[in-house]
Amino acid sequence: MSTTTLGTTAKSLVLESLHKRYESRGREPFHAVKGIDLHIEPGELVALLGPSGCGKTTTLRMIAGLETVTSGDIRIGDRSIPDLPPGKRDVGVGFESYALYPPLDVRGNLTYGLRARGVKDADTRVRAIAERLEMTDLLGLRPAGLSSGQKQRVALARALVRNPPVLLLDEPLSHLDAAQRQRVRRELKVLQREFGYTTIVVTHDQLEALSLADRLAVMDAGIIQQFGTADEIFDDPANRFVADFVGEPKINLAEGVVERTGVVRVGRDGALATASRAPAGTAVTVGVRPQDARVAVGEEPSVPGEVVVYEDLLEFGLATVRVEGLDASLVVQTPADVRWRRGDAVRLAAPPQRVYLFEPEGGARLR
Amino acid sequence: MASVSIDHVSKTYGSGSSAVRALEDVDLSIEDGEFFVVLGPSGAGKTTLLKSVAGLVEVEAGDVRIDGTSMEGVEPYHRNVAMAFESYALYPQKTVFDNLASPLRSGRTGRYSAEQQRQRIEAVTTTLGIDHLLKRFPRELSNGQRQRVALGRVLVRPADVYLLDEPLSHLDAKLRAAMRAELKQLGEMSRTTSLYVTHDYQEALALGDRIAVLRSGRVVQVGTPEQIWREPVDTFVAKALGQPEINLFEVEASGDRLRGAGGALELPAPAHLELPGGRARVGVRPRDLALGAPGGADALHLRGRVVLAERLGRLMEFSVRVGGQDGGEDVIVVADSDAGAREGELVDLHLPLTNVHVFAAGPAGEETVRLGGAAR
Amino acid sequence: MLRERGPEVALARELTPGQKRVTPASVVADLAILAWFVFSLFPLVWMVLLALKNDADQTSTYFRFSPTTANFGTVLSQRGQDLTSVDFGQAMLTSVLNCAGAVLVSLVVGIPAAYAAGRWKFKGSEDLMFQMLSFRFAPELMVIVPLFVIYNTLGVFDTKLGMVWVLQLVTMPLVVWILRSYFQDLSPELEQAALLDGYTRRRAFLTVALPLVRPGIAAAALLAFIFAWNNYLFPLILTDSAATTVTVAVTKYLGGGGQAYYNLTAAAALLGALPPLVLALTIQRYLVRGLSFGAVKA
Repeated sequence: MSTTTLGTTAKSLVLESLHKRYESRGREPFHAVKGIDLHIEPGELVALLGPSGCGKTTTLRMIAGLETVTSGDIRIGDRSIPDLPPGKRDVGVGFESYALYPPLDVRGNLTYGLRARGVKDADTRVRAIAERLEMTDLLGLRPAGLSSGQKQRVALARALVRNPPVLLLDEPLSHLDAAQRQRVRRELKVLQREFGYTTIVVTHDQLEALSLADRLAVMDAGIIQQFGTADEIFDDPANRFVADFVGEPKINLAEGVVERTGVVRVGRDGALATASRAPAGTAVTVGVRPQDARVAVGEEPSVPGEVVVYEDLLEFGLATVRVEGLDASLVVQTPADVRWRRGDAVRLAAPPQRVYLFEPEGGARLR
Repeated sequence: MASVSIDHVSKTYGSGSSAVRALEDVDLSIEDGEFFVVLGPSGAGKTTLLKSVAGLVEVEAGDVRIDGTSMEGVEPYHRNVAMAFESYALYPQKTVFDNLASPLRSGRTGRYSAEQQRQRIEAVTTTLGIDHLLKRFPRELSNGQRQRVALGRVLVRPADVYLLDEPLSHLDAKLRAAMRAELKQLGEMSRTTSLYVTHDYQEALALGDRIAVLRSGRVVQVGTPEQIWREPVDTFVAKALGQPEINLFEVEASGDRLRGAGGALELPAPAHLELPGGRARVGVRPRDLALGAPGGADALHLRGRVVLAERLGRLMEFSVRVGGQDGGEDVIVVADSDAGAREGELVDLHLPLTNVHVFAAGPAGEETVRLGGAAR
Repeated sequence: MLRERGPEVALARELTPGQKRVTPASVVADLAILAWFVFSLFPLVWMVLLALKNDADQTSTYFRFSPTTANFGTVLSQRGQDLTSVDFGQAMLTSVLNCAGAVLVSLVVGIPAAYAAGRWKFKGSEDLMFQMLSFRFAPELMVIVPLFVIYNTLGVFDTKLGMVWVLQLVTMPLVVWILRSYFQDLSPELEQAALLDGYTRRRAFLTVALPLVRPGIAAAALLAFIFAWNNYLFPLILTDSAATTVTVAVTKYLGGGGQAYYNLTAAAALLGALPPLVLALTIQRYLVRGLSFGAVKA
């Protein structure tokens, strides 16, 4: 295997105030993407993460050239691409549905795009990529005879075989079962590093995005809500949407009032220390991740509650705790060596820097 | 309420060359009031097992007994069992209210006046949080809501046994966790004998009083969650529980030590176990491994380079290459996000022998039985 | 770059795959479709025109058209009966009774048969279904002579009962095959749920499965009615005057009494086409499938 047939010169990918509006006669125009600015470094892997309908797939399709750009610019390296047809954009695309050509065998699927471009060493390249992905034994098979994991591999190989400086993957792991997903995810990341493709992965799975990406763009309603590393997104969410969308089990959100700077009241007689500097009297939404909640020690501010459900998952436990004065119960993840029982009275607290405050309206973070 | 015993039940679909063995000599006994979980991958025969108890498939050998009475030749509507189907199976032409009233109106689950029906339905829908949906049709509901209605149709009536077929499988991860907690609460409240089928090991651990692991129509192991987790009967069961999967290494005895992964892994040979041919497989769960300075002499040691560090929420998942560049193996380790290991670093891993599983050696790809723990 | 071009350009670029573009190929395709349309509709138009012509115009080689509705009246009057020795109104009524009878028999027997065929596989079940369909392969001419003899012997020649019986042979396979696929599309778990709710198999069928295939029953009944209505050979041979049907009655105008009345034939044919048309329009809304949507997971 030589680096002349595999690997690429990484290029940066820049999106500048990118918009997409769908207008059709007689209907309300739909503003799917509302001004996206994204600067992706050469060789970086960025995940576009968001719920369905947030505009992430539309963004990907605009980069690929499958959707026209309403306004704004897309640049690969220093080349502006919105006016180029999809085939001339230097992007490889892996589709969620694999989109393999059923009548062609795997080899045919891989060489099809190369031949269309008149690439001379198509067979050498296909062999090299097949060896690297450990799928040489699949080359003679038709897509119909492949398992979903194998189809996934072929679709990935087809996106890679052209050595695109930019790789776009739409929900690449969605059709795999849990064990396969873990393996393919690690593999994908190693490959991407090895070959240096600048990569965008579109996904709705927050765990996949956190684990795979160098940086994540969390999208909602056509806007990037936060762009940052997994650490920043998880530990320092920009707003309530990001805190709520990322993390499993879901973050606990409860109404509260700042009692004095650094302490927020929660429920009828609970309180939590927080690193937020919001002034006394501010009505807020308090967010605490189940993994950050713990039993209070000493005299620190705490929230008293009663365990109504305790699920022992052996690697950890999950407690559902009812708190007087709160509509929703709180979920607390306990370490493996701690066992609670239904009916236990507990006092909960959390590290102050992990007690997030948000504006009740709009959900902006109050730092 | 009643006990359920499944006595040597077998079932084959089709005949001749196209015959598929769905259940093979399944023998289980579920106690009165027990919440019993059947865990297995798709195609293991879980649904067939439930339907055998319900009387919806005819077993070809063996018998099902409910409360000691043989169910042979007993029609489903005489068995007094309630079932939630994986496909929900809600009546599309009926409203949520009428779907829930259906078992109450059949006359076989007791006699209810219109007022009593309304009260029961109200009580159940309030518990499940779907009391605002009573006039809707199934097609107007989200998957999560349909799921609750299907569950409601089970809970609304008295029954000897509840049969629950993957009731959480079509929900997204977050809703599933919330519903699982609700189910746990319901189960603890109603204490009706329940047979619950799932492919999700976390559901099994969280909900089951006992768990049976099913593989290709056979029961591989039955036990409490603790037993199944701590003493999996073979590598199949060990891999079925835990995400990421348990790490398995081929090891060989040399002197009083076991070594594997090109020498990168070593532990004291367990004197209380007989290792055929001096070879074995060692299983280590990703969360049991600790990063840092080597533990004592009676611990398992591993040394390798971090090739990948991935963030999984509050946790980090490290892929550590042990045993050199070529022929090395990747160990998956899960640790807290402030464990501090970086990609490219050399790290030491260790864990107490009590958490090390020793399995029989065998050809690659073949499941082998557990011999015991590395420490007694 | 786009930003500098202004909104008109941005709108013009909204053309996405799937939107219509005018190309020479698309024009040719449109013309071809138009030609086919004219070709297939022309006989119908001709019939309508012919039915509205008077006796003098109908055979003229020039196109002369002074529309009259008198032909319809003639067909339904005593004069029509005198010309053909058949009471056309009576024939219409006979046809309706025959076809309704055949459809009714097919539904009463066919719905349970289709349900059984869709739900249970047993040795030879596929062969049985195929055999039923094979009645439709053989030309009716093949069996018409023995049928004629049998009907005469049994004394059902030229009776409505005899016609219902023979038309049912035409409609039954249709009903069973159409409904079987509807029942197969229905998840068996719906009836299983009903069984566990405490209902017997019969009640599960009647209260759960049957209401859900109503659109299928409507579609099958309509198609069966049309097939029975259009049948010509059986009534031609197996009836005389008492149980004769519209299809036979129409052709009597083509020379039964020595002269062919083309305009009257056309008028009779149009009248004869009315009942199936009216029926199709009235039950159209039941033909929409999708009642079962939402029952089981997508």
